[in-house]
Amino acid sequence: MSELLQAGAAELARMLRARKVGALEVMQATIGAAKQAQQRLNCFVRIDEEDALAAAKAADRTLSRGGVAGALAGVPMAHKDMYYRQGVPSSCGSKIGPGRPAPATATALKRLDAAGALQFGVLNMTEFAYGPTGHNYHLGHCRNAWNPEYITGGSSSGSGSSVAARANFATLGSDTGGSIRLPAHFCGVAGIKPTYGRVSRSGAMPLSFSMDTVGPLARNVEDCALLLREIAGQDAADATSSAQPVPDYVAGLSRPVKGLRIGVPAGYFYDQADPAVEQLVRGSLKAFIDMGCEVVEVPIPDIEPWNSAGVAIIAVEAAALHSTWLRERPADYSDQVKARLELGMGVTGVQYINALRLRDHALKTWLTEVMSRVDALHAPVVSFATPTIAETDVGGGAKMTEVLGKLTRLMRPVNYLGLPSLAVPCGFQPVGGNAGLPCAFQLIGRPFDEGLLFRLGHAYQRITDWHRKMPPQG
Amino acid sequence: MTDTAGTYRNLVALQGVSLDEKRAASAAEVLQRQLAVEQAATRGLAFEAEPAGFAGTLNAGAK
Repeated sequence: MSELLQAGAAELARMLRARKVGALEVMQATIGAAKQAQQRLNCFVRIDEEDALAAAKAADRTLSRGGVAGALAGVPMAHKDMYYRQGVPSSCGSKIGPGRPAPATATALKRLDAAGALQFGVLNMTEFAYGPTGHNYHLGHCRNAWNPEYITGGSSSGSGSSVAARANFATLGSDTGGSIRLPAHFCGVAGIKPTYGRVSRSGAMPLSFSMDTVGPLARNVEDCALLLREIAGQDAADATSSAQPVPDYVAGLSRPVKGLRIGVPAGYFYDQADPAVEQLVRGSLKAFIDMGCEVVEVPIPDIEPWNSAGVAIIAVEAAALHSTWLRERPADYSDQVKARLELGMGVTGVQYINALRLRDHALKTWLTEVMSRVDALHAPVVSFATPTIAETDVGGGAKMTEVLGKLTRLMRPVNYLGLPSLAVPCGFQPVGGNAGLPCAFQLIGRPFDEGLLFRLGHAYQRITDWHRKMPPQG
Repeated sequence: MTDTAGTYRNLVALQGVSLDEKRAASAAEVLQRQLAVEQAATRGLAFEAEPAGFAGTLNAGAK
């Protein structure tokens, strides 16, 4: 593999600005790696080679003139195929999407364009972003770069897989019930689910307008901080986007973490944990103690009802969005997505509204009982061994709710509360072959406190090297 | 098929989507479980609680 492809997005941007490397050379290497990865992992939906090479040549001209270049000038990126470009159809991982030219370009893409990032393709994803495993019955299942028999996690499956394979520097994912953090965990990359409203959802395919968030996955925490800084902030095109100021997350990375209080959940998060995974996640706390953080145990309120309420909200909102196609094109859905949408049609209006009414109370309880005691909560993303694609191939059958519920159990309450959560690789599980399969912890923060999560995650990555490990090259 | 499964199937059919009996039965079980959990959780909720409060709490919760 070309050494160029081993750099992170921030590091590459620095090399491009210093003219140590050219944008065209990087783009050619990236597209070569993407084509190779595609054969083994099915992580791309489309690679736009001609346009990307032309854009890279233009970036070289700008950079060589020494003019003003954005923070991501010349950095190649491919994104989950649900971020719209006006007039271009996005598959949204579905059979229906390719027939719909996008009405407008996504705000997150516009902001990455303005920062100089070069989009060279679009990535596989779970159908309509509604599933946590990475299976896709229309485009073919996306495969884990560490072992193609195992799941990538979803719904940002191609995002996790392509970044892990060093076939993509960084990417936009979306997280409604774990869809950024799960692929980050399973694929061994970093990913942040921002606070609800932190990033505009305009031009991103909706799944559940009350729960959807837009965020990056990347090779390390610094890259996530850089991407989030570029895409965050209020947007007139999304009424739910927040007016909270966006700090310079990258500048904040170097601030000390000594004295910060990290909570370890007593209850819920480790209730059903596999000992090997629990050991890896808990083991990562030692690095924080070594850096002078205070680690304290925190009792967790009863959050199972919040999980259940989150399920109901997503199911109803998704069913409403899809109701016309469900009536008119039911055969164009996979069995699993159709079954989940049908569930939403059975939730009553009273139940849906009560799930929304409970949300404020839940957040107040969480802020009082948990976040008043700590700066961030450290917890597993998934607390059991990574399953294979075959083991989780449950379609829309009777086992569906159990399997999907187990995967999203530690994710969805965070979406329900609207809080930011950063997934950071912390080791390898003893499954899936010689190299093992990645494992991550999540750091859950106060609303709009992504900067503190980045500080902690970056500090952890300065003294560990899990994020530098690369999957075997097929 | 239980009464609950039949009711669910009819409710979905009213919305123009047809379900087979087996799927209706397993979905009805899931929905019943969810409903029971939520009813217990919202029992003590203030009469005045409304969804809009969430956004305010989220913004106020920023450090």
